[in-house]
Amino acid sequence: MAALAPASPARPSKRSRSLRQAIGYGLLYVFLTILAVIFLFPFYSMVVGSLMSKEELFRSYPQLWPPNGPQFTAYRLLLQIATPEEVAASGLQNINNYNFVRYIFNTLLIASVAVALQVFFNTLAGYTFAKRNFPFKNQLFSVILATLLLPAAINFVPFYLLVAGTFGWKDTYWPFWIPSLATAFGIFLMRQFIASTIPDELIDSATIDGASQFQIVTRIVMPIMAGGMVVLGILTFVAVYNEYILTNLIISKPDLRTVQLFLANFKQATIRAPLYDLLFAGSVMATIPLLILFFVFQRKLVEGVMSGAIKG
Amino acid sequence: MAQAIGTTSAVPQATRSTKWRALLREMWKHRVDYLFISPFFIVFLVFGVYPTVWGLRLSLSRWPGGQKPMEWVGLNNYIGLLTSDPLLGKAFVNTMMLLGWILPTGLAFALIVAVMLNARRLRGRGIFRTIYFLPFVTSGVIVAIVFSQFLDKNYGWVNLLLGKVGIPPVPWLTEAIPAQISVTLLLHWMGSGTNILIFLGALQAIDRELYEAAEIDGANAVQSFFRITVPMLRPVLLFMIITATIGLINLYAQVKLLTNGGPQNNTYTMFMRMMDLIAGNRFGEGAALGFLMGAVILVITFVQLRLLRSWWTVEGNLKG
Repeated sequence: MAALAPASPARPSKRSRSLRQAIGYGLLYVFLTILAVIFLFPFYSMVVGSLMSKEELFRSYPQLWPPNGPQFTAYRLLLQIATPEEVAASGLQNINNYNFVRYIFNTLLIASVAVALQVFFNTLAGYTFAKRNFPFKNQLFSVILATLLLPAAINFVPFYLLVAGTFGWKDTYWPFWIPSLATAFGIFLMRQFIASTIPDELIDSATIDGASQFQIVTRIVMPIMAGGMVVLGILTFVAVYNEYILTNLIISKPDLRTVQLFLANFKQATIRAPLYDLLFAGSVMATIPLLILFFVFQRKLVEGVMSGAIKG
Repeated sequence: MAQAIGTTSAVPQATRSTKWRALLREMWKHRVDYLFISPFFIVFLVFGVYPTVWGLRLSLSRWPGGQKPMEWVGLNNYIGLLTSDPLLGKAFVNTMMLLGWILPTGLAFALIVAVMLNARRLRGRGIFRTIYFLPFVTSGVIVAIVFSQFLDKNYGWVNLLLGKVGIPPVPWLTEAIPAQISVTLLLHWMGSGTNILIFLGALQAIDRELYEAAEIDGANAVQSFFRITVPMLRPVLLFMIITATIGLINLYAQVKLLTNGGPQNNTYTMFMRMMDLIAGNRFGEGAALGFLMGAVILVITFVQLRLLRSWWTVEGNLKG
């Protein structure tokens, strides 16, 4: 326990105190390491499962390593580069229904357009709320904050009917782009970032030099705020990339499916182990883009999650 | 006389209209600002306000969708959901049980780990933090896929390890209590990293001098934890309780794919009911359920805010 306290309170002699601290820290490392293994293990077992053949999965699933060495058949099947023999042996009815490349392309398309729109429009609004003064500014900002408290469940059904029926957006990607063009969270986040990083003098001098509002945003605010925009962009990307509920209702054409929808449909159709090699391989490939993003922009992500919680 | 009255009443009128005109002129001068913030308000009106208002009418009607007419049924949808829906009561109880389980265990676990990570001379803090935060980027769909294999009665890792210490296989996904525990484990695995991160950020913002002062006053580690750490974290804790509550009431994808609401509907959620009503073209009842869920969230949030009123600010906590 001594190690856990930021300031050690122990009074006894210096030696017993440092010994107790050493033991405390030792236990701490053991505990944190076990925990790290627990957090990493599902990822690891997913990778190992994806490298096993379906017979191996069926007969002896929990393995720390594929018994006959790694096999990439499942990946080749999903990437549509498997040999005819492998396709025949896989027992899949129609290999075109497992075109993972197409699904990942769809998902990346949805996510990147959503990110571009949200980052642009939220920065525009965030700048305006952070640096401009105009009538009803505070009231309008309060409205934005208040909408953060509205649970999405309230109008989920009429929203779906509006988007799919009235607008006729079933089997299109508009529902992922237009309704969330600008979001309360995004505006709030960008306003916080801009208010705390861009000095008023910079904007004043640009105004004196005759720059328009739009030029100020695109030429001065956005370059300086690139870091903040990345934070918002990643949070948006992760959320849209992993979206499932709305996708499940909107997308029914197989060719338009996202990775999540493909995997979910696949999982629900897979009753027992035989196809889990494909399911695991798909899960691994679907996670890779996010893992890359995670490790490249880890600091930004942490910043985003913390500023959402602590400033909010 | 008449003229005098006329002039006295004309004066305030004139100032009022000039005031209005000045305000309008001021607003016109800021038209670009309004343009810049307009996207949010346009989409909010079209995709937020309009469906909510129309949904209110929908929730009072029977409507199977398409070209068919809406049939007014008054409060029947609400009454039906509350009194004779076969699954909603179960779903509500399940959600409340999950809340009762997950909030205390999840927050306590995250807080303990965050306090450990905050130990002054810990090395590799960044690495541990990264690993615990990793599940943040995995989707509910994928987590459910991995966990369903993990918890499989005959082929899963968990039962394999339990078997090594002599515990017979547990039917993790096919019996009521184990299935509820499985859902809890999955949600903890997915969500703890974010909570740990937020707690750690808040812990690092606490002034070390507070602890040093307490130490001089003779406080031990446990005392300073409960007298300093916990009170300082209360606003963050409140935020986490409220967001976790909303998240749990909207729970869908993970449970749908892990247990599909089973066994015997013991992990069925309210959002699953909503999706089933949509699938059955029972849009009026679906809309009504949306408002009921909104009401549940509102009531719980309100109760939490009232009960934890003294938690809103840090200042109030340290004094009290």
